[in-house]
Amino acid sequence: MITVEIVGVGGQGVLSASRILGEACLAQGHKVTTSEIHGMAQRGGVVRSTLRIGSADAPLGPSGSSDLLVAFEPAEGLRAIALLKPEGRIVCESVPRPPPAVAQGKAAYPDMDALRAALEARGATRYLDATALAREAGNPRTASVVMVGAAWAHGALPLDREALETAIRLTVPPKTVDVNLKALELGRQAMAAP
Amino acid sequence: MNLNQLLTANAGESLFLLGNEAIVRGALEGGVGVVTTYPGTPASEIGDTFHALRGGSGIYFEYSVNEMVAMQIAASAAQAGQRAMAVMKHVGLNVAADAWMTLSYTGVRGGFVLVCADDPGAHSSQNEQDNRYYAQMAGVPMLQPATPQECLTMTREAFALSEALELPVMLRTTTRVAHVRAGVELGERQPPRADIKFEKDPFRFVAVPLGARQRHKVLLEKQHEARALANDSGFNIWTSAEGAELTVVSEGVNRAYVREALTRLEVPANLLELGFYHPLPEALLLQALRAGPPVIVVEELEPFIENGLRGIAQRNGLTVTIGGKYEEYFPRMLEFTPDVIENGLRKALGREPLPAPLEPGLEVPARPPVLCSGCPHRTTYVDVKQAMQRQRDTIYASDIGCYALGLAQPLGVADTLTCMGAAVGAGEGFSVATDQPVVSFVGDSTLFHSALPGIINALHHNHNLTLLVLDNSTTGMTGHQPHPGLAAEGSRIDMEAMFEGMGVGFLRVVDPIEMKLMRETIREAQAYQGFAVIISRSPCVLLTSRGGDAGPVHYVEQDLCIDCHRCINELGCPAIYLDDGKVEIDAGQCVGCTLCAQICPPNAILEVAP
Repeated sequence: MITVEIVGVGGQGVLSASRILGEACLAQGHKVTTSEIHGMAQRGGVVRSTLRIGSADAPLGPSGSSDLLVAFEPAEGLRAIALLKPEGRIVCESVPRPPPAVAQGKAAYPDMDALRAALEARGATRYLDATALAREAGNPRTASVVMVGAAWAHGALPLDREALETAIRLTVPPKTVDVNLKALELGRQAMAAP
Repeated sequence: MNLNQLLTANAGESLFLLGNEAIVRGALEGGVGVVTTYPGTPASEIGDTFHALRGGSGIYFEYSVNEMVAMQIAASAAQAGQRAMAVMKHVGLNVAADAWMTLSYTGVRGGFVLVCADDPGAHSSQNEQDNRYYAQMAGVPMLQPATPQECLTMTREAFALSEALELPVMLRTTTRVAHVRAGVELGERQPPRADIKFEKDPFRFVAVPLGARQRHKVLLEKQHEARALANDSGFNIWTSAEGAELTVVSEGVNRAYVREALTRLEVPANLLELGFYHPLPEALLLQALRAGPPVIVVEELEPFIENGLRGIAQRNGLTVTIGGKYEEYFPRMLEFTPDVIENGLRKALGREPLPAPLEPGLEVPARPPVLCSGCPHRTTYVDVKQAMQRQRDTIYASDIGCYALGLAQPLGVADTLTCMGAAVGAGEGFSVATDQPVVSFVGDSTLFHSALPGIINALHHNHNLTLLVLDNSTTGMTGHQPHPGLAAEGSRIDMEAMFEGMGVGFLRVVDPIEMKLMRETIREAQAYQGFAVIISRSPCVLLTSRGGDAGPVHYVEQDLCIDCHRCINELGCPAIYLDDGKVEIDAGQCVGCTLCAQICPPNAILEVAP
């Protein structure tokens, strides 16, 4: 059984990424649940989706038990860190998105070096600039699929490329399938040995 | 999965469905013919899915003006013999409660299912009320799914159950179940009934006192029948364990958390998992009480099952230990997590609690939801604050919708908020009780939903306040559903003609980005003695910017900027930020609303040349 936490900011595509991974699990023949909270929290607020792949029937696991944390935003990764098991894995978007209060000088964003050190102290952490890679793929809105590719590779998720491609075809607008498949591959490559 | 597969997929196929989507398929398999709703998280996707499928489903679907009307329409359809479903969030049933409480007296002929979504944790709600008491208060059978698969099966079966008892049935979900996605195996679709004809039976369907007393007796007799069905229901599952140390009774998503926690704790326990538990299945609960070990009840919110269980124990002279809320094993608020459940079980077992989860180690800044950049509500609020800046004691009565985010600083224009439509009545109360100026805010969908009686009251009693209708031409917060003020789904109700017909003596329609005009209009409205209405009309920015209708992106001309930071300190726009002390505008987020440019004292915020 594998538990994956995907966290980020409303509008970043956390729910789309979760949906694609969930459909891919189903295509691969794994039992899977995804769970998230919709609604008010998404107006620029924190978004979290949990995937449980395999035998689990509860949609959430206890603290300190998740195998993989996929952070679309570094501070959001840290906010959710208690969910990760000791020596779990972390895939993290490298570019921070401070909340408006920080940008307006009314709150502080953690120092990036300290933030990275705090993540790395909890698990094997890899970073990528998903938005830049999405632009390279041909559409900045494919950043969430870049993150899917990275989560697949770094998290060693039990999914064949075929299952992921099936899931992408099922969930993205038909015209954007090719650019999304490229985004998936760029995300995967970003996790290849540095 | 695309939504159309809910119509086209065959029995035996599996789809990856949200709990809410599984309810839609369950209703299609239950032969539903009429579906009504008012959108509300966490139930919104049910109505939105029926709406998306409406062309091909053969079902009558509508977004009704409010939950009361939704229930009345679906209930009458069921009284006529059609299978019908009304869908709402938990607080929506407060609006529909007047119909609900007598519908169980008259009963139905076609199956009637109320889908009612509770929100433990108040993720998107104004309270955490426990609607299981509405099933109890009305004497209505209640089913509660734990998984998307049960969402489908229970919805389908709820129609048959309703018809067997000729009573409405409540399907109660919670946020976690409504928004879980999992593989769901489908059954056979059933077409809606055709040729429905209402057969009159006034002694049953006309709830005058004589009829009501007779029907109350019928309702009470049916409780026994319903209880017998609950006792035998496959939705209640008893599992005994060798050498059990506990018997755990649980409901909803907590059933799975309990099973996993007991596995981690390596504690053998008997399990009673409840899915059909109003009326309480007494025979099953007695079996749990008589099994031997102490009985622990794991349920979110109120001690609904627990109180029932204690009553059954008392009536049967049983002294077995029962634990739950009263022993503070489990809280009476917030959504349960696996940690909460494991800690409750540990406490019941006399074990140490789990170690506290690891802290992040660094302070992570809060990220509350905010109004979008370019949101017209922000502009209206800035207009109001500027117009009222000399009257700092102005009371701002707010209402349910995105615009409640006006609570946050630097806007700070929400002093009260309770329920849908409350801003008008609340404003009237403040105008009666105080000499302070009063401004009430209500959204366009909320206006039609429940503000109209308050407005008629304000006019009739000549209450002195200003109502700002924040008309963004959609139901924004719940995902852009239509409402009666729009022509998208039917005949459009003309808001201005409606107010004129009611006799509103001060009525203006202003685009809030016309800031000077809006300020003057607000001051005029405040000077008006009586009930003044200003319609602040500007479409939701998510609709205009997605539709490619955004204005020109702006930037800060640093040579002109005097670092007064008014744009930062007064607007709270997520597109405006400080970079090394200098104000900048994020071109990726700016939608060109011009609000910041208009309030900038040195006019340093300019359009980016195309």
